Amino acid sequence: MFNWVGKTTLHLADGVGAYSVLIGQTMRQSLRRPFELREMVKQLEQVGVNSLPVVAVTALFTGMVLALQTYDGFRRFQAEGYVPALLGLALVRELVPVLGGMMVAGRVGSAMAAEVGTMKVTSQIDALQVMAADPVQFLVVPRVWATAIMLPLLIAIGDLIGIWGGQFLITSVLGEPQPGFMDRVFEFVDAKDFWSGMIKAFTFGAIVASVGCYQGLATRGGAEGVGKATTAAVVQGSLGILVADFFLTKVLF
Amino acid sequence: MTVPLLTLKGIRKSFSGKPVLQGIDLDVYQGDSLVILGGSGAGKSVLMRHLIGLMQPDEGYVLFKGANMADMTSSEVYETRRHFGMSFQEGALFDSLNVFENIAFPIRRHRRHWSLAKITARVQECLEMVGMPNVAKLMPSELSGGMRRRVGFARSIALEPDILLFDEPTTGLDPVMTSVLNDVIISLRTQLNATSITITHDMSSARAIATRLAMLFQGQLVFEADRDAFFETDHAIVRQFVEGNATGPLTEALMK
Ligand SMILES: Nc1ncnc2c1ncn2[C@@H]1O[C@H](COP(=O)(O)OP(=O)(O)OP(=O)(O)O)[C@@H](O)[C@H]1O
Ligand SMILES: [Mg+2]
Repeated sequence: MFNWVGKTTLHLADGVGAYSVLIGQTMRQSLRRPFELREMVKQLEQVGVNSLPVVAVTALFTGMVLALQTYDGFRRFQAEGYVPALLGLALVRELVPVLGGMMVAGRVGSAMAAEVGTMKVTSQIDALQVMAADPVQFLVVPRVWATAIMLPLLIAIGDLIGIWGGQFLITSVLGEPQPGFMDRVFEFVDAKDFWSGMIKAFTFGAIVASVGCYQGLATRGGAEGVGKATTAAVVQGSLGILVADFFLTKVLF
Repeated sequence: MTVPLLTLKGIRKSFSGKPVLQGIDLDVYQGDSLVILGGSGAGKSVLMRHLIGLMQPDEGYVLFKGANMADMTSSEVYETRRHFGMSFQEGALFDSLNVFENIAFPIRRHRRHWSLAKITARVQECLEMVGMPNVAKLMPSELSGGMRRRVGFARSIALEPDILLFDEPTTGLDPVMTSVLNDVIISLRTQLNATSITITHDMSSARAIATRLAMLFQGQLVFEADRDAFFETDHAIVRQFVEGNATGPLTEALMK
């Protein structure tokens, strides 16, 4: 038992250490030429195209369910008028970045772990190194930046879709139209709320991609290893988002 | 006396307690064509990975032109690797790129001023050398195992590097293609004075391309000699391997 705890702790410390090294290398290599523009554009496209549908659906249903829950609750003490404000704040500051980020961890982080992991077990990473292409510079840097840039854009779109979903639900499904719904949302949600969500999204994007690449590069042992790396990328990426969200919220407000 | 191009000194390597290399000493000189022989799983690929710094030894060191690879900064390591070309046992083609882009990859990275026309001409030339002029547009997944291996071979020679590492370049190829690749390896040495280190199980290949051979057995290079001496030796392990006998010291070691 103690043995197990000890081993797990050591293993965890090793992992955190190796991950930190990768982050350090990624930052250093970001500043070093050549910058892999082609690879970056490809990744931007993949992240954007792959994730927009899932982020949109996630935001839509989150907005709708949040409206459904709060509208009913607030009506009990005649406070329906505050629903738009609550909806806007909760979605923009918290729910869309976190839930959207976790969906992207499942969609993009896993794909990166699988792709890089396959490259690892089939010696393609070695081949890169032999051709004097640094795997961090060539694979990790473009992926991390592409995801960190793309996720805020996706989250901004998700914010709008979520709020619209809430309004749609109250107006059309509950049949209690609220005039000036959008105006009231924007009255409460100020620029800082929006930007805090964007900062979160940027950070989450970097976490998802770096964890995905880290797991990919650490893959051992054939197809089974790739499977494990993929799962680990999703789990650790999602956990990373939740932990980072706590600290970011504490720093930002 | 000339400095060897590559020197291995006392290399030991184990994987999770299981020893694979147990003290390898080896000098490779400019213009050598060294062939490494050894049973399956003997550690030939592991040895080759040490030569180019893809694996670090547990003990011992690798010298490139007298400089210790372990002491180099990562940019010096990458600088050193520009002299190398390697074709992998697994092929290791980038499966997101087509054949053309795979072979063009090292050229694009190291010959930034080359025009597209020049790159295209060189890629075509490499593909013709390995007998596949019409596959440039195909993806690696559309190729057979032997074709992939040949594309990997073409990629490794695209930059005409000084030092070539070939890990089983002809395994799984038909006899005609094997001879074609043998000729390419020989002409790289005679025309460009390239140094090559080749792993192979094919004795006719080994005879054709080698200037020197070394036999890897139980983690050590048990015998090393120039070609003619190697094939005529009475060394029991070498004899059994070269002749492919079912009985002898190699099989006895397996049974233990
Ligand atoms: N990355 C690794 N992790 C753990 N063990 C490894 C690794 N690479 C090689 N080995 C082990 O080292 C031994 C030698 O492997 P190697 O690939 O060098 O054999 P080989 O001589 O090239 O054989 P073959 O002729 O079949 O290619 C094998 O027992 C293998 O299990
Ligand atoms: Mg091998």
